[in-house]
Amino acid sequence: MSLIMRTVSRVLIPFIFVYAIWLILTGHTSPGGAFAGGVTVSLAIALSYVSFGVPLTKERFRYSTVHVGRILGMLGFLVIGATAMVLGKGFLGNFLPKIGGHFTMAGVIIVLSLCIGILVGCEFSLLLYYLFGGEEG
Amino acid sequence: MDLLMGFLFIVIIASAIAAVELKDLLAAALALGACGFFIGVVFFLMMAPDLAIVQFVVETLTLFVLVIAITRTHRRSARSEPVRIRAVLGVIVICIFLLFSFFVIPLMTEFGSPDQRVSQHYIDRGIEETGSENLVTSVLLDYRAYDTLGEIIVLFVSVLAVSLILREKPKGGG
Repeated sequence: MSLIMRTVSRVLIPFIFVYAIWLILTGHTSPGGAFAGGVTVSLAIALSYVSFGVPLTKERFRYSTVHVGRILGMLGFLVIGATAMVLGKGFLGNFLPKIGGHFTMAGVIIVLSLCIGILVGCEFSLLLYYLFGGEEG
Repeated sequence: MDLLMGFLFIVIIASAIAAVELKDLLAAALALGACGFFIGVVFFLMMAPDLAIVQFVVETLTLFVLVIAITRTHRRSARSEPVRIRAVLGVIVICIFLLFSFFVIPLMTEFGSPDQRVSQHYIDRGIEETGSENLVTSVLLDYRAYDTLGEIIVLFVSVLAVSLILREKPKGGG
């Protein structure tokens, strides 16, 4: 792609990632949420695909990394649910203390959001990976 | 407000019709994207910012995937049905839709006053029971966490299926 596109993307992509992390981590206090944040992560990767080219992006966001990420997200969600069950709160119950403060006020919700954000981001990134020609291209 | 909503709905319907009727696939995809973005604006005006954000980002990703898929494939023009049959079918479908909505819409509850009383419990006790200020998140990740689990399992399995279909073929045939 053109020089303008590359320069703008180089500035823009970190900000998109920050916005995505903000969406994921503050879903319990402001609009947004884990799903939107995860899709935003994959949008940043999509911008990287069209502006920096396929080979460079595939080297940055490797197939194995994305794959491990989606499995970690899924396992994290299930393990947190099971931990709550072991602690006697029922599956996916809220077992962390709800103390004040921006990040800790919702207990386990923020951890679950993080898991879903990682999972959704990695799922759609994997789809983009296949869209741009599979494991070799 | 109502005037703006009416205008937005007209734009949505017009862009949806354009998405179906346009011959150029790229233009049709863009019309579909415009339709989705205006639906996002409607969500935002109806004070559902969570839904609006999800609509915007998913619409952007869908549009991106569609445009990439269209620019990277070749196609031959398909023979379409005669205009008269399509017009008759369209009129029949619209008549059925109008007939049903004539009988069903009076039975629906008024906008913003749901029939089920469980939502009032979420509004009253949501913050102290879950600690989440955003009620959408408290429903998604606390009251209805099982639904979210089901959703992410659906997403996981569908991407698994895609990667099974599109994976690199093993070397040496087979």
